[in-house]
Amino acid sequence: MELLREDIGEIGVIRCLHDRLDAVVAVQFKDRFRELTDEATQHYVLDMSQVQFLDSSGLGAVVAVYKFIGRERRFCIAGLTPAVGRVFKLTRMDSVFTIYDSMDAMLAAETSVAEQYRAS
Amino acid sequence: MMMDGLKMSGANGRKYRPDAIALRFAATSSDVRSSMILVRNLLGVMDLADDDIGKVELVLAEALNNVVEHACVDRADHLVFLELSQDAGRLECRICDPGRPMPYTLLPEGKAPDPDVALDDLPEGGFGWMLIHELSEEVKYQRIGDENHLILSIPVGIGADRVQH
Repeated sequence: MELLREDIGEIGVIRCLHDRLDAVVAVQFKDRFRELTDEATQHYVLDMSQVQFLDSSGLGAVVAVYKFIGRERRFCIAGLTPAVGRVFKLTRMDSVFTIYDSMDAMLAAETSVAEQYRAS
Repeated sequence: MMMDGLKMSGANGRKYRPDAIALRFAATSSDVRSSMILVRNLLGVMDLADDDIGKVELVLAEALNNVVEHACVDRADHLVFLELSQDAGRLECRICDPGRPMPYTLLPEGKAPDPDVALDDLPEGGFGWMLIHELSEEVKYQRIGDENHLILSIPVGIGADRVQH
């Protein structure tokens, strides 16, 4: 499972380099995501702009990593392609996550949030 | 991946644009994935629009994941048959497998899990049938002999470039 962590300031950006997040890789995705996190980072973004296909197993894995990050830390998603966005919308999980269309939109909105997290 | 019996037919006089495709593959998640990549390419050849290809791919992947995870669980020797044909704004799909029948031999209704719950209670599954029902016009299930037959009718448009060929 190709996941890559690239921090931007205080934000831990985890990029999914796989074009399919499906039943085949769902468990590896969860494990690899956990490996890439650490105790100190309070703010994570999952960059899904490379993902062209998401099924219900993949969606379940995204929900699982959100739970893992937990309520005390911040988690959001950036870059949903149309097919991936449809899965979030049909399942109404788009109401559960903070989702940005692009990494640029995420940075514009979340950088100030990141500063608040650092200050608190 | 094992794949046999790939068959394409076209009634439109162009051998490179099939109206129907059929394939058979092992009941494993990796074969389902390989089949979906193949089907995605073939649907493009059938002139389906990208958006429709995405819908069909999702519905089929959900239905086939259920076959692998429930009907044919731990039976990599089981073969799944998938047949697709395009007809008047719909893609008719048939999935046959020799696995266990659906519970009570009934089609699951696909009730959506509730997303309005506390973080720890968020659903991590149970979306599959809901997505299948949501994107299909018709979903039928039959147990015929020792086989499950799932018949799906998915509304699709015709690619914008079709008339220009």
